[in-house]
Amino acid sequence: MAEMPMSAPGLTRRGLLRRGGLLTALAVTAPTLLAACGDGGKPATAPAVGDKVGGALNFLSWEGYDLTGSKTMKAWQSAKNVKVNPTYISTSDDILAKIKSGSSVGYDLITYYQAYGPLYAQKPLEIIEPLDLAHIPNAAQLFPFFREGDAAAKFWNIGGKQVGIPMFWSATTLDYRTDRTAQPESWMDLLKPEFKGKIGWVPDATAAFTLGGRILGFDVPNYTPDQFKQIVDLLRRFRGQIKGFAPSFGDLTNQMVSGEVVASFAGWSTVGLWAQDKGAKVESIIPKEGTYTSCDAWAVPTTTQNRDTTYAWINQALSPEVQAESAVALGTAVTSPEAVKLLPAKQQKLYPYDNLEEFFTRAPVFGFPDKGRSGIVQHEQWLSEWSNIQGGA
Amino acid sequence: MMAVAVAPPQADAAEAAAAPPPAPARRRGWLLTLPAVVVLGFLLVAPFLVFTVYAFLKGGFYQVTGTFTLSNFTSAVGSELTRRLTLNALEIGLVTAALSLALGVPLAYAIRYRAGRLEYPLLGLVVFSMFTSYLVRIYAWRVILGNDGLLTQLLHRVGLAPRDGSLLFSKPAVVAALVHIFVPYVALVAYAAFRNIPGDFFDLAADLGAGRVQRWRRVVLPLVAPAAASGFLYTFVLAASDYVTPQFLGGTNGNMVGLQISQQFTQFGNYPLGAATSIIVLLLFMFAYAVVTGLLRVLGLSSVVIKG
Repeated sequence: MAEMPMSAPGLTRRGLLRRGGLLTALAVTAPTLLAACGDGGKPATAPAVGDKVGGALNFLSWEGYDLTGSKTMKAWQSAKNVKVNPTYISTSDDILAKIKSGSSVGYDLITYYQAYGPLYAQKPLEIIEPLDLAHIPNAAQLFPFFREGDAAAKFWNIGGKQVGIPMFWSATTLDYRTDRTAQPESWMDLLKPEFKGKIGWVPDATAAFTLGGRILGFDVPNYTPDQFKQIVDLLRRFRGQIKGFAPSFGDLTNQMVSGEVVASFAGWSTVGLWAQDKGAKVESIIPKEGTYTSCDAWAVPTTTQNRDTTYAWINQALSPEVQAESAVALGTAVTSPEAVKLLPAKQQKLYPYDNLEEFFTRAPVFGFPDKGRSGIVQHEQWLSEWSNIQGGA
Repeated sequence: MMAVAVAPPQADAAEAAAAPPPAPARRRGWLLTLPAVVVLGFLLVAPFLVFTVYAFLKGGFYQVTGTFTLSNFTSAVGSELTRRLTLNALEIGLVTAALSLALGVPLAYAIRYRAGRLEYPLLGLVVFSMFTSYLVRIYAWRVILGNDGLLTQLLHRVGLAPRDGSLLFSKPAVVAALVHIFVPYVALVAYAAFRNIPGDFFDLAADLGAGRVQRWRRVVLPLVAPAAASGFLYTFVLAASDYVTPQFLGGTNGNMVGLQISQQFTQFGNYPLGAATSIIVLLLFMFAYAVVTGLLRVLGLSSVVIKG
């Protein structure tokens, strides 16, 4: 049964997913891109880091991730004479494309959706460098889930080298109008006739196939062709329940507030928060089949020319104050226990911060299908099939 | 009264050919066009050429190989989804263009000849309506057509509301928003054409015995037809290639091929297929252009100039 009152992963969550979708495509084709772009960066060990903090920091990621919503970060930048030069990406492939383009801009800081960690950190791309955590002491304050264990080893501490530090995360939820419908227990409840034309859905290939696999209890994300077909059929049934895809989570929120839709498939807990702010009675829950989590991490690309400042900036970003302020601004969850204490009450309740280990068993973080593994459907087929599902073919 | 004559453009063209401008003037003319040529060359023609090459190369997800292939075109043409979305786009584009024309030309006529001292204030309002953001106008239609929207509520009262209670997420919703967006453009183009037609031209026609219908059919229409055709084609191309409005208002059945093309580039990373689909759509647009201009020529409305 669903419970898990969540509410806040922000802008980002969709970002994470949407980004994920695009990134995924990159993951699939990394070797080709590589061939086109030449060899990646080198460092197998963390480069030396000093303490000359100041000057320009060339930032390459999603708008908002430069933490302009944090007044503590602004004050720190001012005190340290750090000027962030942001380059905002519109799709995830912008990161790889810009870093490999030989641009005159030496990007100092990026973020990546967890599934891209192995792609970015390992050959042939190797576009991010190992981090020296001695210079990022706040990284030691993160919840254990983000520092150790299987997920950390797979996505952030790859091959024993720390290459990313998680900062923004959120889970995919089922959002519903509490005054218009009873609480759904299962994702499958959304297929009932009474929900026909009343379901909202923000289209995203990776999100759809990841969630589809979760609902059917498969081994996400490595599906056999038969399992894949079952997921496709299921997604088509969900598509039959909607009148139209929402172009963004902000739009989905508006549709829920207006009552145009009363529940969401592959939603986002921030939708609940935003809708509540607009006076609508919306709750975000995790149905009994579970869901999944998306997480973006800081990383230093091999193009950096101001490593000292980048490290100091990341460390400051991970401070409880900045994390909490950014989480409020972006609608995401925080990765450090101390930051939780600084969150507004309603945002604290979004996730069970006192038992995240259990939470992440119901909402794990996933990668992309194992590249080259036989007998499983590769991510490019996800994307290809998604095109048909979304278009209604 | 000002002397007015209608002359076919060929005569004008012949005159121009007979008396070319002096060389320095021609050079100045070239120089003046140089910035536009450079900009268009770099930002339009060059990317288009790259695009065209891509369309004939084998590709996959975020990769383009050097292997020549026609499979992108055969895939696009053979895809039932692409065909349906393309037909959707053409249908929505044509309906939008026709409605924009039907509303925009009379509006321009009224402003030019019937508004009197209100001519410029009304013209200002038309221009002003374009200051509003494109997305804001789309969202305005979300409010109007939504569950609790003005129009929906009105239809409820007269018992004509749709069964699911909302007018949103349908082709008519897309057309309504697009017509709203494009009527001012068509009106301005038509107004510019009417500005060149002296008001007493109609009096003259009336003096010669033309009735109201005849004046429209034999005077107004021929004079405004080229501008109206431009407005029609302009609206048709922009409406048929739009991929934002359908996302917000189109629902699962109101999507258009523009969205599919954009997804090929941004979501699925298949540049060659996206390029091939774009070229097919471009050819369809060019065909539509040829049909409309051909029709005008057949009807003797291809171009008319006023000399006074």
